[in-house]
Amino acid sequence: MLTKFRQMSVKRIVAAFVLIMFFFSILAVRLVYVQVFSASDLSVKQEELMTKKISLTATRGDILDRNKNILASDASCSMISVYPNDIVSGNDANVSTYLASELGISYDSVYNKVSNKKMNNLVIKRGVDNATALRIRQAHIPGVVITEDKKRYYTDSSSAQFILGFVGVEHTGRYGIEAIYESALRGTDGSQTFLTDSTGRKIESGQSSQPKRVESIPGDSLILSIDRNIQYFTEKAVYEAWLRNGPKRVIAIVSDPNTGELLAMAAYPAFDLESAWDLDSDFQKSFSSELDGMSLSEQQLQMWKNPFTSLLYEPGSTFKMFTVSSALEAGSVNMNSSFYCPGSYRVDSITYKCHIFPRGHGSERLTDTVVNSCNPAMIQIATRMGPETFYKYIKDYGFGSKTGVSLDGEEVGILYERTKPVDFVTLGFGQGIAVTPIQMIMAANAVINGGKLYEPILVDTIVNSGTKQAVEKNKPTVAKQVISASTSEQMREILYQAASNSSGMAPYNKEKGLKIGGKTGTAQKVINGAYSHSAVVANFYGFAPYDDPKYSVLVLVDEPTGSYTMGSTAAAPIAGQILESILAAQGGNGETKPAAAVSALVPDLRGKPTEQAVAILDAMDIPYEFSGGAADAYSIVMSQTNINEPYSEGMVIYMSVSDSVGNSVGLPSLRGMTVSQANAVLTSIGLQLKAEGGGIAVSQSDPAGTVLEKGSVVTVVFNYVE
Amino acid sequence: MRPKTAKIELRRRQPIAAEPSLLSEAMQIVREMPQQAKKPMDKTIVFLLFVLTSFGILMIWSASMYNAKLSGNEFYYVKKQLQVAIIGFAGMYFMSLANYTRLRRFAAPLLYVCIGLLVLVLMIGTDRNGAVRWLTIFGVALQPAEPAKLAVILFVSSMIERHMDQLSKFSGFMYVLAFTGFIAVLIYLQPALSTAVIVAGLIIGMYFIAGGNLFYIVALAGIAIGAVASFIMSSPWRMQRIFAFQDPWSDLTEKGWQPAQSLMALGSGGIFGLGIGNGRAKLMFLPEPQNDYIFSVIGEELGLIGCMAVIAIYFVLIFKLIKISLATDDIFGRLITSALGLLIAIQVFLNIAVVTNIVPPTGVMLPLISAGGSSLLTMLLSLGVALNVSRNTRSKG
Repeated sequence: MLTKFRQMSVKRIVAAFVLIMFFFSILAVRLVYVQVFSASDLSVKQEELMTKKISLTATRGDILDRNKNILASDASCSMISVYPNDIVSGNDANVSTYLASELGISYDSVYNKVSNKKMNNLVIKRGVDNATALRIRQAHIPGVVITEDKKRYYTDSSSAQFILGFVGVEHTGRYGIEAIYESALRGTDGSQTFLTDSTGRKIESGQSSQPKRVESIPGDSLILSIDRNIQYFTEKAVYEAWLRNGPKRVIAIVSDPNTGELLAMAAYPAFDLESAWDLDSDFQKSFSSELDGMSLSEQQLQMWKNPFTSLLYEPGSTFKMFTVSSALEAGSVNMNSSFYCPGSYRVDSITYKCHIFPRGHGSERLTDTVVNSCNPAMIQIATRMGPETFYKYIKDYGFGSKTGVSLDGEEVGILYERTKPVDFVTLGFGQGIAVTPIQMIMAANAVINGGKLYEPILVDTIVNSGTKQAVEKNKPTVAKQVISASTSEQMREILYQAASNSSGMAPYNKEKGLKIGGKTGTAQKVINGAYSHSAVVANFYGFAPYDDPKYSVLVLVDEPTGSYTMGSTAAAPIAGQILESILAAQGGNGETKPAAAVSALVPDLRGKPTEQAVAILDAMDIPYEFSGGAADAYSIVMSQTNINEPYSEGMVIYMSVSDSVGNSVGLPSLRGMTVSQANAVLTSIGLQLKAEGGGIAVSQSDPAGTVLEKGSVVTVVFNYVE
Repeated sequence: MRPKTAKIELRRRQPIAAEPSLLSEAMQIVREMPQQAKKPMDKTIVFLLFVLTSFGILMIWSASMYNAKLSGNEFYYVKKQLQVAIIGFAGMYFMSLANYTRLRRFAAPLLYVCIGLLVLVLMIGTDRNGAVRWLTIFGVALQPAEPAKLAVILFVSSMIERHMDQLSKFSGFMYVLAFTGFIAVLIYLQPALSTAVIVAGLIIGMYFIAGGNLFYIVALAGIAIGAVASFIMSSPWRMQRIFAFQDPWSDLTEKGWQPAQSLMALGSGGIFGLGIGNGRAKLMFLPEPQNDYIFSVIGEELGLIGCMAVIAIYFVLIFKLIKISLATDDIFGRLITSALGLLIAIQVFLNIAVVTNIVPPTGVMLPLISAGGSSLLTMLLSLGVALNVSRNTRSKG
């Protein structure tokens, strides 16, 4: 028995061992397959799963006025977020209370995020100012994380709202230039790649894969045609008029009639760019009937709607300059043509009354018809041209098509080509057509600038933030030669007479000698398909000086109230005030826009020689202190607080400097220096220059702020810049 | 010379007359220790065990440090494993001096105790991740299924030895089958399917080694395969679920997570590995990286070379155990050592098969390496018994 067992089990044990060998070899084959043949595929998959990428928001380009004053810029700020699972348990409520009070947001909104343990990382608030963020950082709350963020900052947030537009929470443009030039302004976001565990928690160190950082590329800056000072005069006049006349809205545009450049665009009521989502109280007051029954988001859309491009209005008498200029150009009338106004004029079955009916203007020359703003005369002029000719000129002036201005929501207007006399003659005095303000000013400019219809320019130049070179430059473009230079000259004379005889404008010409030409208009508004008896749009187009126009202004007063409701009484004085301010400033004895309380961003001084940094801060009147020892002449600013933050009262900039006494020196920024300047700077701090090329320095081998040993060679590339 | 004495003594003891009391048998074991100590110990096996256990502790440290650090104690698992390893090696030394032939007397009582513990764990066990596998006694968590493996080996070995003539008969086979079913179901109820399958495979394997009826084994295998196959194929849904593991990427966040993480770890390790400590799958991607998936971490940090080295060490260990068993004329000793080799082989195979996604994910520990006190202690004590068997073989193991 035992012998039998022994023989049997030896065989069986050997068999089992062979079986084990077989199974183990399966493992070996499988391991070779996984670890050799699938290795690269699998490790790529693992890499993808374990690395997280966070976007580094690129600095948006600046928006500058034509004199390179900053209108919009990015400021450095902070983002507060939480890792809900890292909050000490039982501490959710305390943390929420603290954050809610520091950030001025509701407790519930914070608590909902803090207690959401399913999520790895939740943003509590973006755009938090660095001082608040620093306080939160110093509170050292586990699970609360502060990261760098960008905030859009407007030097005057209640100015040029409809031009600039604003950015949304994701730091992307919403409305206006910010939205339309998004691709130029936004830059290229950078990224930070890092290793995480399966819950998304960042692995700090000790792992083979190193975090990778791709720096963001700042967006291009825009230089607008807008002039900050003219914008200020215009906004001031518009606001004062709104207070005085209590209308729904006042808007004004100032342009250079010789280039099509827009110099100012103002509208009131508007909103505040820094809190664009809050309904403006004056807006709510003026538009209460429209806003009735609207949801908040509909009300916001209504508030943000750009009036310069989307407000459709019937121009009324202002349109008479197009009637007369077209007829002159077509040869249907000349300066000596005479007309008769009996007080009313009958076309087919309809009788059109003059505005002085039952009286009449009697016999009039061409200039008188405009000065008198006589409707019967205009009917006769339009009839002499005939519908075909008249519509041709109207279309040549750009009515019925978009101007293509770089603003959102542009409307084409309403222009029906109706050839029955009874229909088309009303166009002669600006009825039966709806236009936008931007169409109107560009067309009117063509009347007085020698007949050229320009394309409107709002953005003059796009500048690369890195190289400071122009990427794109908008040159004045003539879309159409509408009338001849001589007809235009005649029109300037006529419109000067018209303005000088207008009650609201006469004082500016007669007493102040401003030589303003222009035309008023008061059009009844079409409300619910019928002409309103009380609601009008008072408007005025003017230019100065009339014999050599430099500036043109369009003013619209939408539903003026009180005793001044006419184009001449409500709109013309606003234009007069604006032109007076501009011309006074041109003469050097006018006012300029006062500097805003916080008009400066703290400059980045890192890498600059201490002397230079001190000079800059002194010039900006910003207090500073050096931490860690006094600076000597050749030391370099190594670190600095409050970089790119808006300067506010009480802020002190702290800087630390390199130790130039020792054997190492900090490298300054040499950009923009000539070869000899760069050489002088470098040798003075004990470094050697190796120059490449010639001209001014465009790049250097080590970035500014790098600490180098004395005697090191710095390679600097110089380039000739046009 | 010495083995000869041992053989004579073994033969003398074969017909078991009256059973001595457990206490007197234990006293006898202690008394005989100096005599056993004079016989040579298999130093190769001791060396291999030392290598595997200390390598295990190193890898447990690497695999667990991230998770353990987050919970506040970086060395939590390492410390526990080290403590058990020290106790385990002491216990192994003790068992290697304990005359294994006297363990026959303890086989049945030990099994009863283990069955008692297995029943107890179902009633008052500690629930972890939906499975009740731990008994907490005086603050020490014990997995009764682990010592049960040793108890089963000793019990089955002694039973087969005693009923050798019944082995090939149908009744004998049915007895084995009934016992297998009882133990397997008891463990399965925890639920611990993989351990149940391992124990069942172990018993059937021992039946095979002992010279059991091959026809019955083949028939049983046929019936089992047929039953499982028909069960799986009875619904397409079940089949889909069972085979879902083959494409872990299609259900990455749920069922495919573990196999995918494990494969990615092995793959990114490649041939040479990322270096000890540099693995990334353990950053909460792999479940239980210090335990069931420690081989993935080994593969990631030491590459194919490390994996093959580990498999090779196991292979040599199994080979050594088989050699001891072949060198032993005693049925009990032969069965114990070969069964132990078989147990290690089954666990190593299943663990690595799970890690390399050859079979669906199931929790099997890598013997001597995975973190787990019950498993390590049982293994070392069992191998202590094997070492004693080797002391009593005909020639040197």
